[in-house]
Amino acid sequence: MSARARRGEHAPAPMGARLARICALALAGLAGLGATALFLQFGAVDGLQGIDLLRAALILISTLWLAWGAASGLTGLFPRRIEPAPKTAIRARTVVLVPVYNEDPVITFARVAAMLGSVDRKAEGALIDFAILSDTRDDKIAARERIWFDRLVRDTGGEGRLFYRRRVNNAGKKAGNIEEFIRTSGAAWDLAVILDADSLMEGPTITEMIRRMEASPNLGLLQTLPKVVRAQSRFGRAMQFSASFYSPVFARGLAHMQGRTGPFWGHNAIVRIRAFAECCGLPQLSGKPPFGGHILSHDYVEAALLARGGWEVRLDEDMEGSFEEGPENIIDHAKRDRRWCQGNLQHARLLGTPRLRPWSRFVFVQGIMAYVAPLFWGGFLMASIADAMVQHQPDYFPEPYQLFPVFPSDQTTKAIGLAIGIFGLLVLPKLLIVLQAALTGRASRFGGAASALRSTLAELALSSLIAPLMLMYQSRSVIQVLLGRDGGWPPNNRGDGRLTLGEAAAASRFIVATGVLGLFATWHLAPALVPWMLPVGLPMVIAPVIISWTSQPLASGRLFRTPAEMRVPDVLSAHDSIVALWTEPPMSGPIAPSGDLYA
Amino acid sequence: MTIQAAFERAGADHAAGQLPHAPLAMPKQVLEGPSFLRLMRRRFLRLISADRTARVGMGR
Repeated sequence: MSARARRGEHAPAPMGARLARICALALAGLAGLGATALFLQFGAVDGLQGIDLLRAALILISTLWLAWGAASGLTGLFPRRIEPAPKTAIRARTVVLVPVYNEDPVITFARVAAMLGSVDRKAEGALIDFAILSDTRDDKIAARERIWFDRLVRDTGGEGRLFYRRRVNNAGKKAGNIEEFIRTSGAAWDLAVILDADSLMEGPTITEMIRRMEASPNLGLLQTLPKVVRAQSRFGRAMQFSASFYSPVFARGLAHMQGRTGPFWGHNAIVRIRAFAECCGLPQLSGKPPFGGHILSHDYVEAALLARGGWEVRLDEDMEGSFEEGPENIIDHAKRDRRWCQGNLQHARLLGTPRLRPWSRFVFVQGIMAYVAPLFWGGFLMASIADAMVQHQPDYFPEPYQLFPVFPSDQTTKAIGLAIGIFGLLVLPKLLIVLQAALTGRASRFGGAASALRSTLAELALSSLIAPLMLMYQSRSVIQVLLGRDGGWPPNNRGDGRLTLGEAAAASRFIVATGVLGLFATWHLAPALVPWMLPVGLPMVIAPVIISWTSQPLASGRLFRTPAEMRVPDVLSAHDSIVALWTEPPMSGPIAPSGDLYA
Repeated sequence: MTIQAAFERAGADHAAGQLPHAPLAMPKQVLEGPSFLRLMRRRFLRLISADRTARVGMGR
C-alpha cells in the first residue's frame, strides 16, 4: 500500500458527510426551483418572453446561492461529536508563526508576549516556540521591530524560544513568507501554528490543537474558528456578534459536510510541517495578475493540496480561545474584500488542477459564487426595470365582440410571497440559531435569550441596510478583476476606524450616483416598481451617512454582547497590560514590571 | 534535526533570536491542469464511452 493510500487519499468522504452534502444540496435545489416556479407564475402572466426567461435564470442562480448558505446554517443546528484528545504527554515540538507586514511592533509583539505567557502557564510541558516572520518593507518600522524584539526577549526571558527574521524581499507575500521559513528552518519543528499579525490564542487552545494533531497522525491541518474581538464601532460590533453567535453554527454545518476535506483560512490553524512542505509549495501561475502571478488566496489552495496529498484537513469549531480582530468600518471591510475577491476569482484557474478532490473543486466554486452572486442580483433588478419598461398595456377584450372585459389576474400576492421567501432564507437560520441558543443555554453567554434576540434583530436590520452597499462594492471588485485590474496587497488598517462624512462620501460616490440614477430611472420608466426598489436604492443614496454612522463607536454596551466582552479572556487582558506597560511614559522611580504579565 | 543541533552546527555565528538552519524541501506543486470545461468534457465522455457500456454485464 502506498503512503498516500495508507493516509486515506482514495477513501471516499465519510457517510455522514455525504449525507449532509446531499441534504444541503437538495434543500438548496428545492428552494431555487420553487422560487423560479413561483416567479414564472407571476412574471410570465402576460406571456413568457425572453426577458422573463433571463430573469427566471437569474433568480434561480441567486436563490440557489442564498439557499445553500441557509442550508449550511440549518445543517449546523445538528450537534457534532468531536472526540477529545487524550491527555498524554506532548512529544511534538511546535512553533507559532507570526507573519508581520508593516504592523506596529509594540501591539504585535505584545501579542506574542501574551501568548508566550499563556503557553508557559498552561501548556503542560509542551515545547512551544515563537517565530516572528517579518515581511515589512518600511525600514523605519523594521528598525523598530528589532528594538522591540530585543525588549520582548528581555522582558519575557524567552531567549532560545523566540525568533525573528526579516526577508530580503517579500516574494509570494504571506504564503511565500511561510514557505521561506519552512525551506530554511522547517525541519527543526514538527508542527506549526500559523497566525496573522492580529491573531491571539490562549495557551490551552494551542496545547489542545497539538494534542489533536498527535492523536490523529493523518491530520495534516487543523483549523479553529477565530472569534472577532476588540470591536468598538457599530459595524465592528455587529460583525463581532455575528462571528461569535452565528459563525460557530454555520461552521459546524460546514464541518458536517467537509469530510476529510476541510477548510484553511490562513491563520489560527495548526499544520503538520512535513505534510505542508510535501504538498503546499505553491508555484506562480502563468500570466499576469489578477488571474496570473502568485496565488492571493493561498489558504484554500493549500487545504486542497493537503487533501490531494492524502492528508486530512479538519475544522474543529468547538475550540475556544482563538481570536482575531476585524475591520471597524465598511470601507476597510470592502478593501479586504477586494483582495479576497481577486483571490477567489483567481481560483477559476485552478478548477482543473489534476487530482483534486471533488469537494475541493466545489469549495473553489463556492468562493467564486460568493463574489459573483451580487452581480446576478444586480442583473435581476436591472432586467426587472427593463421588463417593466417594455410591458404592454393589458388587453381587456382579447376576443372580438366580447361583452365583458377580462382583467389580468392579480399576481401581487405571489410576488410578495417570493420576496418573503427569499428574505426568509436570510432570516430563518439566524432566528433558529437564537431559538437553539435559548433552548441549550448558549444564549446566557450573550447576556441571555432576550439580549441575544435583541442583538440578532439589530444585526438583521443593520445587515439589511448595508447589504446594497456591500453588493455595490463586491460588484465593483468583480468587474475590476474581470477587467484585469490588480488590487495589490495593501496593509490592513488597524485602529478605531472612525470615518467622517466627507471620508465616507469620497469612498462611496459611485454608490450614491448609481442609487440616484437607479431610483430616478425606475420612477421615470417603471413607477410601479419604485416601492420594490426603495429598500435597495435608498441605502445607496444615503451611503455616506450609513458608512460614517456605522463607523462610530457603539454607545450601548447591551447590544451585540459577546462572551469575550462579558468575561475578557486571559490572553486579551495580558495583551492589554503588556501594551500599557510598553507604551507608558518613563517614570522617575524604578520600574517594577509584574512578572505575572508574561508568565 | 533538533533546534539544539541546528544551533550547534551554526556555532558562534548564530545570533540570538535568529532562526535555526534546518532546511526542509518544499517542492513546487503542479496546479495548472486542463481547463475546467475540458475536464468536465473528458469526464462526460468517459461516462458515456462505448467501451464502458460494452463492459456492463461482462463480469469486470
